[in-house]
Amino acid sequence: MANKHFLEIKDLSIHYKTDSGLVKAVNNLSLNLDKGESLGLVGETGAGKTTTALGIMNLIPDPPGIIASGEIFLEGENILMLNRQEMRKLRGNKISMVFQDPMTSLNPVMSVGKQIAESIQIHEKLSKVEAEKRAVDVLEMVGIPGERFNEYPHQFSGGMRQRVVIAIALACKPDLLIADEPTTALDVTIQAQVLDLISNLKREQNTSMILITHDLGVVAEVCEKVAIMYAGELVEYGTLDDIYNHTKHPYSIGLFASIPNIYSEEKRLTLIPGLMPDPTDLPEGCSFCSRCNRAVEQCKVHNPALVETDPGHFVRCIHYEEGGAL
Amino acid sequence: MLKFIGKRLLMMIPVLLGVIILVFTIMFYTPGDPARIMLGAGASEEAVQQLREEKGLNRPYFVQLGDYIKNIVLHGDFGESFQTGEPVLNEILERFPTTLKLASLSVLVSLIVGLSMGILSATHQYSWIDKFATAFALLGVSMPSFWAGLMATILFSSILGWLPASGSYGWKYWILPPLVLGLHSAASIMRMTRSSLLEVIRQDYIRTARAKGQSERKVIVVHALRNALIPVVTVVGMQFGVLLGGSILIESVFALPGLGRLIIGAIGKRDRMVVQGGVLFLALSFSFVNLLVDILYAYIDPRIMSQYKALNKKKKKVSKNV
Repeated sequence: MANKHFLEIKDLSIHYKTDSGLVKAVNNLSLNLDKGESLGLVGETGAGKTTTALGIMNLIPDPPGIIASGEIFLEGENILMLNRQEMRKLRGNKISMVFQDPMTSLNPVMSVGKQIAESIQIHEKLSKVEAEKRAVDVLEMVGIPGERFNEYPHQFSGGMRQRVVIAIALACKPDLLIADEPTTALDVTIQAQVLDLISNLKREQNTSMILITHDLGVVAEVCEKVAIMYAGELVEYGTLDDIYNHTKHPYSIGLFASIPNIYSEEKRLTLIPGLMPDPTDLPEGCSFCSRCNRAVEQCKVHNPALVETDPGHFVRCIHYEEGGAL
Repeated sequence: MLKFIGKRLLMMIPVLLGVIILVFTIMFYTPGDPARIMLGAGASEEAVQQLREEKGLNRPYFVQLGDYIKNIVLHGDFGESFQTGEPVLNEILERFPTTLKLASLSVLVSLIVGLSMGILSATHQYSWIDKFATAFALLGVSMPSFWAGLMATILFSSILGWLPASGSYGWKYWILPPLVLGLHSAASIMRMTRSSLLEVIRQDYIRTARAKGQSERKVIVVHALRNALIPVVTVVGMQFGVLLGGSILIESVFALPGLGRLIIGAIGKRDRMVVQGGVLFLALSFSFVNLLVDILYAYIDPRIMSQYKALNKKKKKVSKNV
């Protein structure tokens, strides 16, 4: 099985079994990512972005979550077929994740230095002293003075803690970095710093990255590829230019329209009417159809396939399907 | 940290003073005349009166209380037992090692059993291990310790004949009592460990540890357990404090010469001095255990340590301003 891409996700579906029914968090998601490339995974809350990321890490809380179907290839190897121990060797080493909330992502009773050194010690045959020396270097790489090695998370500000979380993720120079809304919990000035930090380190180490966010501005700055998710499905997927300048899917168009324009005075923000469908009860047809201004009768019963409209630009909409409504 | 400990030790003084006054008052107003009980029902009124005079029992409440406190503070003198004439302190110190030994062994048993079962049932939530542990905990909490003690004696001493039923003449006598007491308190330690650990396991930093590629065993032992320990330490401290003073029933069941039995006996005989001294001693040990627990908190959680330190700093700043 020859895969030319560094990371290839094929038809990934992830479900949660809950008391109120089966939550279909991610449905038939397919993505590719090359070495050194950055992908922005965009979507509103509950679209399945974080679940996708945890799926790649194989860290879906089980129970209630299960990977219902699909394959994830990393350098040609299906990592969903790996056993626990093999998967542990990838985690923190080849694939790392930066979590959303720096205030809760660090162990409060362990010094930050030790938390960084831990991940180095797991994956590299180093003594404790050497690992700690490396951890000091990593701390300084993310802009925290090495003397603060022995301090605890509560002695750091939010922005500094996120730097520590990033340091943990980058300590073993991963090939793939998944950043799950790394700036959401931070204030705007710190956001820019953290983003710069991530993109610089990524460039230096030629790391591929999946950046999960709902901030289209951040994506434009950092990523080359963009995937827009809605109700667990990819609705549009392509290069930055495809998505930003040749937006096709009505949902993506709605997203861009809801960004206020700096040049015109607007009293109210444009919004997409309605709410995302209940993931325990997804509609039979297109999941966006109840909110779509271009919906036709057929949308209610027919869920369109992801079609390639231009090379590398995929859209899931009936209007771009061959023999569709248009 | 030393400053914190010093301050806490000073704070124990009003507590102990309160205990002295309370116990003294209760004993003073308890019906039953110590002199009469000492001499027996057949003694003449004059003899009783004379004994009261001798022991200073006919003086007013405040005079006796003041005298008692003065003797403790100035001379370290806790008075003498009405019954034996021995200094109370000697009687207590003679009995305390037995109680301390019983309490320590029981806590050890309950820690080993409670912690390990708690960890197992939290990491295997809803499995048969968890269900077994829950059933065990329910049984442990619902069985009164004296009843469990009696049942254990019947089984292991009378029927099987493996272990002696009562007394304290060697290591064999020290197996059943700590087991009965320990398993009883293991139940609550197990429940606390389980619920505390379950809460910690759902925290984000546990996911971070897993995302590093850490093994599940180390995630629990290194990351989760220490965070889950604060409520567990609280419960263990409470149990230890209760055991130091409250193993009266078990001491009676197994006829161990402990502090609990000394106090119970003294209450029956209205031997005020022994009761007061004994209760004061238990209050002191309870306070020490509490202090120990508070110090342990600081070593478990660096946030609490820095709080303690901040408290000292604040005090300094205030005094400078004044």
